[in-house]
Amino acid sequence: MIISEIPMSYVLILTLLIFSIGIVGVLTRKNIIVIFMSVELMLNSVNLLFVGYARMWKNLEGEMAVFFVMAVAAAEAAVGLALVISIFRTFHTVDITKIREMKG
Amino acid sequence: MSFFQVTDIIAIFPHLILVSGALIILILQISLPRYRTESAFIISIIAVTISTLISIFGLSSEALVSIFGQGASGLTYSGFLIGFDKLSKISAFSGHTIWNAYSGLYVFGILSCLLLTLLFTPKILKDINLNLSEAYQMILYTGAGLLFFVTANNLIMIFIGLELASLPLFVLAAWDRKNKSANEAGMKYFLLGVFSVAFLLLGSALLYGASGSMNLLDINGLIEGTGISTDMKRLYSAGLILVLVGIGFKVALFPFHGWVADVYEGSLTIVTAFMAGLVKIASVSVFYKLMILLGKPMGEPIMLTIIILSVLSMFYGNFTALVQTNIKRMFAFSSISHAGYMAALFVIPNTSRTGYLIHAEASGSLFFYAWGYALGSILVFGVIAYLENITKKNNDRVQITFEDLKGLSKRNPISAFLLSMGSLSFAGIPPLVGFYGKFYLLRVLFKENEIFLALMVTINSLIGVYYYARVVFNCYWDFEDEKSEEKSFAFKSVSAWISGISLGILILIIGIFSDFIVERAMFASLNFR
Amino acid sequence: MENIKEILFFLFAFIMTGSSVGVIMHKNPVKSALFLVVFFVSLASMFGLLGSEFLAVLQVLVYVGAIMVLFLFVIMLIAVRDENFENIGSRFGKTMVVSLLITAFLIQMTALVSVHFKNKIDTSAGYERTIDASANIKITGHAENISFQLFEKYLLPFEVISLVLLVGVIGAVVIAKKNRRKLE
Repeated sequence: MIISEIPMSYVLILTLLIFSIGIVGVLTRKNIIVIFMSVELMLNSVNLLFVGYARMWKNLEGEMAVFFVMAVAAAEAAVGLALVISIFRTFHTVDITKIREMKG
Repeated sequence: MSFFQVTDIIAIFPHLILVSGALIILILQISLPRYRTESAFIISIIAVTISTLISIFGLSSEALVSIFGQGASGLTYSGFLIGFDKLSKISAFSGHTIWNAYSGLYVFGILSCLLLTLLFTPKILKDINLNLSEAYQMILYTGAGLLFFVTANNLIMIFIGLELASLPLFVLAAWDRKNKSANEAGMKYFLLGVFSVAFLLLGSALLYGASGSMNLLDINGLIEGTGISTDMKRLYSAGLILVLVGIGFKVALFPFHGWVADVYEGSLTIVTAFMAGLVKIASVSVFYKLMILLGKPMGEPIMLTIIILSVLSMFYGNFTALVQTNIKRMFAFSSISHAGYMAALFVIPNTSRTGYLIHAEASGSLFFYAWGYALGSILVFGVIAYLENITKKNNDRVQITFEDLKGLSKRNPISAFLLSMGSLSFAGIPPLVGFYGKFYLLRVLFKENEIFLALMVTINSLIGVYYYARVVFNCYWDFEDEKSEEKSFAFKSVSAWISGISLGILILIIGIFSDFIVERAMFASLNFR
Repeated sequence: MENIKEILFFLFAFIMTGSSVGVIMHKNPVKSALFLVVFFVSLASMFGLLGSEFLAVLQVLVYVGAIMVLFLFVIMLIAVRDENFENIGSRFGKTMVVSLLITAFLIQMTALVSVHFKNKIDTSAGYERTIDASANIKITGHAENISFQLFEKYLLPFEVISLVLLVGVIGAVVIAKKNRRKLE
């Protein structure tokens, strides 16, 4: 017989692990695109948590949240990558340490 | 099977007007061959004016029946002046959004600020040769997003409303796309925005995990009723703190302020007015709402955290603002300190010593402070935007420094007057709105025995007076070098004149009606759930 | 074979962690993006494992099919070079912040996780909902259920999401457009 149960704590650990990996990526990397990818990692780890809790509570709210997060992530990706192109056009680099027009 | 009723539509009526304005602009723009951007401005002004009027005067049941037919009989949409004391509430779209007097209050605040900012916009966009009709669509979407954000009653809706408000702002921040600093500002705003939203989402997920629902009122009912089970409490606290961190980024509280100075400086100044005025008033309201509805199980620790954050924001914002030479940066840092003042009121919902009335008073004075702050920053950034246009020589953007202000009262008396008035209002000088904001804030803090916070607010206001007064001194009493004799008048555009003058009048006279407004806001906050 | 799901969970968890470390550690952005694709696919498998087939399909379609293609397209468009990791130690403040955050998160993890040792996710049971009691119509399928929810309870978020996507489209066009419209 197949036991089809997974402890919720596993999902939570995995989520928090990937979320913190995403934070490290955002804070240490210099390439804007990679920073943005790390943000995607963070969002997706949250999606996993939403699904886990939705299954735990046996209601659909969490899974609907995943649905909306995906749609918003798509819109964000469009705007963000357009911004990257625009940055590249003006600065000729995507290195965030070199994008420093203002100082104070 | 019908998916929604008339009540649902009525609850989001102002939002719908803004959205349909934006959609009409889009359709006209792509279908008419000889389409002019001016009409986009006119359409957006009409949409915002109508929804502002609705949020002020409300809609009586007769008006609703004539718009929606018989299905709407017996319903009213209460506005800021009419009907707040009836304690009505419309819960719409299966509890995703809710119209009660509290959210109606902030709908009014946001829409009035949106109207006044919008009036400043067209001339500035024209001067950088980027007066596209997309700008007005973006502005309308931002407004609609903020309205969805403040009327939300569900963590998902909070997230989506925040996204609908911020995505257009990312675009608007980088609107001057040839300009390097505008691009940098847009990028930074974007990265920080999505980063903070990730925290908001993780927090929502944990709250959902702890309570089994995303509906704020359901969670509230759970904690008021059976309570969160003890083993879930830790999860709940972590979730709430993460949600508040996500919103704290938008409020620009102390540890989450990193983006403020660069983004405010780099974006077009009129967009800065949107960020400083509109986004702040909306996120402050949601922060407070979350504290009231969900903050109860947190008790002392979160209160202590908020006190620390508030005091740190005040000191950090003030001391960094002291040493700035660039005016926009100075106002950016001072906005952090204002966030600190407002955050001082966030502790009130968790003290729960004196019951409902003090909550209402705290929330009323929070609205008054936030609204007065938003009006002031729209005025200040609007005037700075026009000063930039006057001072710039070739096509490069300039930043206004204190040096540039010298002798402004001679060269450009009206903007000198308005700029000084905005600054003095921020500083809290008596007849202006900022003074009354601080007065009510301190009164609540004293009543609640938060002597430490009240003391901190007072000390920091005194520090603030120094750099705000510097603006006035530079405008009026510093004539050493006569830069240019030519006189120029402030705005060069009718709509900006209307907005500037009405902002000036509002800031001057609102103080007289402050009792009335705070009382309204208190009524509204009695009607929280 | 009695806890195959748990074994599969560990397998996918391992792939996910490894590939996400790959995303943030690899010098070459293209390889990072490919690691991210691996991550998304294994996350989709994880969704399937937890019983959300529909979201698993969506994950692959939206993230791998649309978003990652966009990422790779932009990376190729702007010809990104490898990142130089040499002076990473010199940015001492940043690494300090990072390590502090990690520690805080690890503490948080140990504190939070203890909550859930009792809770199990039952991945086999579907949702069952009666939509019409008289006609005895029940829906059990996952996609069916989500679609019903989308147009009943979640109508407003759904409509607002469409606006968000519209803003994304218009905004991307406005920002990335090269030659501006002349104003006369």
